Amino acid sequence: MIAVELKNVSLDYYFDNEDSYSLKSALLNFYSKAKRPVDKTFRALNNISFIINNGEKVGIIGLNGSGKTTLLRTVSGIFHPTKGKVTINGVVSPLLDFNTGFEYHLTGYENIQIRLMFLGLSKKEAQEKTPQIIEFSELGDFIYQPMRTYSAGMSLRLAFATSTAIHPEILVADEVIGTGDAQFAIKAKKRLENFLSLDCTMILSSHSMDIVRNFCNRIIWLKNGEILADGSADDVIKEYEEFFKNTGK
Amino acid sequence: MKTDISVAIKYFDLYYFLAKQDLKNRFRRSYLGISWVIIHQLTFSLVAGFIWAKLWGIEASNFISFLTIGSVIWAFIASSLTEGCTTFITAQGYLKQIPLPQSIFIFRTMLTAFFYLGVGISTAVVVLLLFNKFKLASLFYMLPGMAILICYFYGTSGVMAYLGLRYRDLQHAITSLLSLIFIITPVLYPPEVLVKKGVGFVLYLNPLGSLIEIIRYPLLNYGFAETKHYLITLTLVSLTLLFKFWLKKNWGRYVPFWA
Repeated sequence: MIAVELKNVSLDYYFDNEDSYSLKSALLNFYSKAKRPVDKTFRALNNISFIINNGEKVGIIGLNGSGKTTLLRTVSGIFHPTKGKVTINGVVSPLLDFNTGFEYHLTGYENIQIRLMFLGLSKKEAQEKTPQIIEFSELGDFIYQPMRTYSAGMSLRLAFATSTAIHPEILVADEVIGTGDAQFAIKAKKRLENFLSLDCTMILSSHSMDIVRNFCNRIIWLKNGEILADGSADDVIKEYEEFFKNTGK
Repeated sequence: MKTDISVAIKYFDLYYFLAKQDLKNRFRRSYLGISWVIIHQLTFSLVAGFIWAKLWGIEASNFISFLTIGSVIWAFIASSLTEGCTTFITAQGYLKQIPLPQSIFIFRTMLTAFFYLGVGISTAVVVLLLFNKFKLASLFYMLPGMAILICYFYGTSGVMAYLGLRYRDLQHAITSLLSLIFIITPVLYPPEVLVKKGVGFVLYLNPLGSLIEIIRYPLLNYGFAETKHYLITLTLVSLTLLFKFWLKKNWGRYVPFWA
């Protein structure tokens, strides 16, 4: 069964003038006869098509700015494409950014509840899951403190522990493996390895070839918003490494 | 509309939890907590009502009841505009992270405002009881008005959610406009006063007056308000709803980018 399908997907970012988010400039533009500045756009994804089947583990590689994060947000259904069609069958659990998506004045405990409910659990299910998340995140008594008192590492542990506590149908992760201190990184890796044996679909981006080699059986290589290669992990990684060996010289 | 209703049912637990936390947070570390809402409401309507009644030489008990209900509905209307603006802005972390219907956050704003409305109306009923002016039947006559008011809030806060996200200075504009609109809305004075003085047209230009009337009249006079008020408010509600759905359809996909 198909988990995610992208058909000729293109996505444009609009570059706004610094001031264009204000009502004042919107009104001035409307009434002034002066020529409106042409909207500048940036094509972040260009005509991308692929099918990811259920249970496939797909790695997305490419340099910074190649469109990895944009692609992951599109695959999660957060960004809607400018052109083309995205079909998603199943519930997506995104692990995109650990620094946002929290209510920092609320406690870690409350944030766990909110996040789990966002991922589709009922209030009761969320409460049942919470103890194991607290244990995994190693936050101890800090769990009852407002999240604004947390360090970056602490919120990261909390976010990771929560988002991976459920068995996701489609897990979309953006450069999250190998984060945190060495000890937690090993723990995180172990937890993700558990997902490998399950039939959950995984789509993850990374700069580390070791990680994608370990976790993925298929790799999509992005460059400037286009697919440069899409194939088995070993083939694409070989191609990728050779490409940089040659250009690096 | 249909999808929004199913979202409202499916995600009730979630936005209920968020709204509850919003309220808790607003009163966190305050000893009196939620009672502040009641204290604020009561002191304003009792003290201001008494003074103004003396000033204008009208009967205090009538005027205080009148003012209490009016100011409760006004606060609700004002929050649909101001709180609506920040609906998506405060939710930006979620909007960029998790693919869920945007309406969840509109319902979150609604639920918080409903709580204040509930407290406000209860306070108003207490004031009416105090002056021996309350009849249970008035709650029944208030029902259609309440239904319209709720639909109004849904439409308006929805519209403001999109506009407020796109135009970040809109909230400031609205806040300053509101004090002006407050003056031309019959909260402090009965609408007849303006009609008698020959400036009744001000009222007809302002549908918010009708929105107050469809709640206030039933509570004070134990019957339905004039039909025209229902027609005016129904038109207003339909227009805001149409605008809301247009924005959702045409602007919805930009929300994660703008947030």
